[in-house]
Amino acid sequence: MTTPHLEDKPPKQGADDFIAAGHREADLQELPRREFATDPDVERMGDDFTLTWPADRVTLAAVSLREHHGELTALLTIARDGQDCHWGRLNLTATRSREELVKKLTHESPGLPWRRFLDRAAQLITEQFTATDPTVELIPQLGERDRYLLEPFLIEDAVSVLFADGGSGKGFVSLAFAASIRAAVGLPGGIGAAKKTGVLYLDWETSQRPLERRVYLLGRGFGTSITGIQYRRMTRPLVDDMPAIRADAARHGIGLVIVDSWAPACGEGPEGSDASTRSLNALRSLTSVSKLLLAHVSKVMADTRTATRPYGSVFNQNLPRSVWEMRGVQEEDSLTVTLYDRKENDAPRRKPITWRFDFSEERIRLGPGDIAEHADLLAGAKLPEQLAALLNLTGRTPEELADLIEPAPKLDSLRKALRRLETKGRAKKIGDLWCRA
Amino acid sequence: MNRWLAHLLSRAFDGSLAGEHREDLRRSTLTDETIAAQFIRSVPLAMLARLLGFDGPGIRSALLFPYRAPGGGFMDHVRIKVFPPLTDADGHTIKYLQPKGSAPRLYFVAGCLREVLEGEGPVWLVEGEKKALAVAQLGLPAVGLAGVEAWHVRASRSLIEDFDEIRLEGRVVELVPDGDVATNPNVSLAVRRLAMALEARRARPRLVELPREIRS
Repeated sequence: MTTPHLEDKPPKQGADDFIAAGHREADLQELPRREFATDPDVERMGDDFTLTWPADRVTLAAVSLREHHGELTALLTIARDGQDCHWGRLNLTATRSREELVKKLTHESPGLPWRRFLDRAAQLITEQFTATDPTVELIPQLGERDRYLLEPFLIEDAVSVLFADGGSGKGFVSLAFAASIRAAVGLPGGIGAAKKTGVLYLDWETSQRPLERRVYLLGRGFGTSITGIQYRRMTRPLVDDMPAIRADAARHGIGLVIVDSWAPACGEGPEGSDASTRSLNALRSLTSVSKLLLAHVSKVMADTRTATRPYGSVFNQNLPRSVWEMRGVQEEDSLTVTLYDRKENDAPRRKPITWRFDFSEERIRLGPGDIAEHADLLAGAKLPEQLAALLNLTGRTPEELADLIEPAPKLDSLRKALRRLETKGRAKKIGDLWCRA
Repeated sequence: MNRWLAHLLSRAFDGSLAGEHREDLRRSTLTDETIAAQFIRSVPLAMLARLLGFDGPGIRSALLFPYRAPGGGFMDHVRIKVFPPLTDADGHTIKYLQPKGSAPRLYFVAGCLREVLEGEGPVWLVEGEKKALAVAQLGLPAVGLAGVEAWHVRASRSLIEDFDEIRLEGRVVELVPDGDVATNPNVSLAVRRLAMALEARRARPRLVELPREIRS
C-alpha cells in the first residue's frame, strides 16, 4: 500500500455526482426505489419449516427435508390466500428447479415476486437446516455436573443405553422410567424424575396395543393414569426418519426418546461401526432431549455370567454417556430385574439396583427386589457388591461366602473385598464371622 | 482523544484548506459553510502518522474528515483522504485512510443531526462522507457510511453501535450506495445484508437507484 497511483478506471459515481450534475432535492426524491425482499416469518418444528409473508398472504411449508450429495430437497406446499397453489418436492439448492417453479407460480398466480420468495425461502431453510454448532473456547471452570432427567439412569440431553438379553424386561423398565417422567411416580429406591416432560417411544419391536396395555397396567400398579407418552411405529432405519422424529419431538415437547431397540434402529449392518456411529450422530441432532437406547447382547455374551457389553459395535458402549446392563429372572407371576451400572463418564459407578415386577390381570406392581435371592442376578455384580448383598446379621465365614458365589472367588480376593467393605462401614467382623454393618 | 486531532480541531486550523482540497470538496458541491461546520481541513503531513498510527509514504497531501459524535463534540476517529490515491498489494485503489486498528463509525452531519437521530421521516444513509454532506446540503437528514461494508461489527452482521443513537423502528431508511451497486455483486450483497440488519431493527430500508450514467 505504498505506490502512488493514478487511477485509470473511471471513478464510481455517487450521490454527490448526481447533485453536482445540477439535480436538486426533488430529483433525488424522484429516483426509483427498490424495496428489499422482506424476510418471511419463519416457524420451525424440528425439520419442518413454515414461512409466511403476511403482507402477500403467502405461506410456504417445507417438510421431509433430505440432504444428499450436498443437495437439499424438501416437499413444498405453497399457498396463497389459504388456497394451495403448489405441492411437490423441490431441490432447494438447484437454481434451475426453483426457476421452473417460479414460472409455474407466476403463470398460475401472477402479480407476486415468486422468484424473490423462493430464493429467500431456499436460502433461509438451507442455512437453518445445515447450520452447525459454532466453535467456542473452553473456559476452565468448575461447572455443574451432569443433570439428570431420571437419576441415575437418564442424563439430560445425552444418550443412555439399557442393554439386556431378549425377554429380560427392558420394555417394562423403560416404561417405568416413562411413567416416572409423565406421572411423577416414584420408583423403588427413591428414584424419581427431575421434571415432567414429553416422552416419545420409537418402536421397531412390538406394536401399539401391547404397549398401551403395559402402560395401562403399570399405571394401575402405581395407582395413577400414565398419559402423554407419544408412540411411533418404526419400520425404516432411524437415520431415514430423523427429520420427522425431530419435527415430532419439537411438536410434542419431547424430553425423552426411547429407542426400542437399537439394532433395528441402526438399519443395515447393525453390528458395524458405520451404522452405529451414523445413528448415534443422528440422535445427537435431537438437542435438549434425553435418549434411551434399548439394546440387546450377543448370543455368546447372553450366556456369560459376568459383565457383558451391548450387541454390535464398541461405539454402542463408548459413545453413550451412561450404560446400564440389565438381567432378569422370570418367575410365575413376577419378574426380578437388576440394573448394573457399566459406564459413568463423570461419576463413580452406582451400586446395582434390583426391582421386582408383580403381574396380575388388573395391574403390574413395581417394588424393590433382592439381588441376593437370585444367583444369576448376583453374578452380574462386582465381588464387593455380591458380598454386600450376601452379608446378613448373623454372620458368615469367608469360606461360606465363597461357596455362595459363582464362580467362586479366590479367598484372598474375597477377604480383601470384605476389608474394603469394613472400611466403608458396610461390613463388620465378629470373630471369624463377617456380618452386615 | 488523540491530542494531535484535538490540536487540529482547534481554532488555529480553522479555514486551513489546501487549494487541491478545496477543489475536491467543491466537486462534491460542498459549500464553505458545510466545510466549516464539519471541521474539514488539510492535515500537515508531519501530523499524518500521529493521527493514523502508521506512515503513508508517497502521500502529497491529506484532507481530514473529523467524525462528529452524536452526543456533541467529536469522536476519537477520523478518515483522511490522501492525494494521490494509494494502491495496495492487490492492486486496489485506496483513497481514504483511518487510524490503525480502528473500527468503522457513522459520519454524522452537524446541520441535520437532531433530525437524523430523532426524526420520524426518512433518513438517508449515504456511502461516503462527502456524498452524505452533499445530500444533507439539499435539506435531507443524511448520515455517511465510510463504505458499503462500514455498517457492521467486524466478523459479524450486527449494526455498529452508532446506529443505536438513531431512531430506526418503523422508519424508512433510504440507502444510497455508489452506482456500482448495480454492477458489483459484492457491493450488492453488502447492501442487501445492511438492509437485513436494518429490518431486524424494524426499519424499512429502500435502495435509491442512481442513474447508470449521470447527466446534467
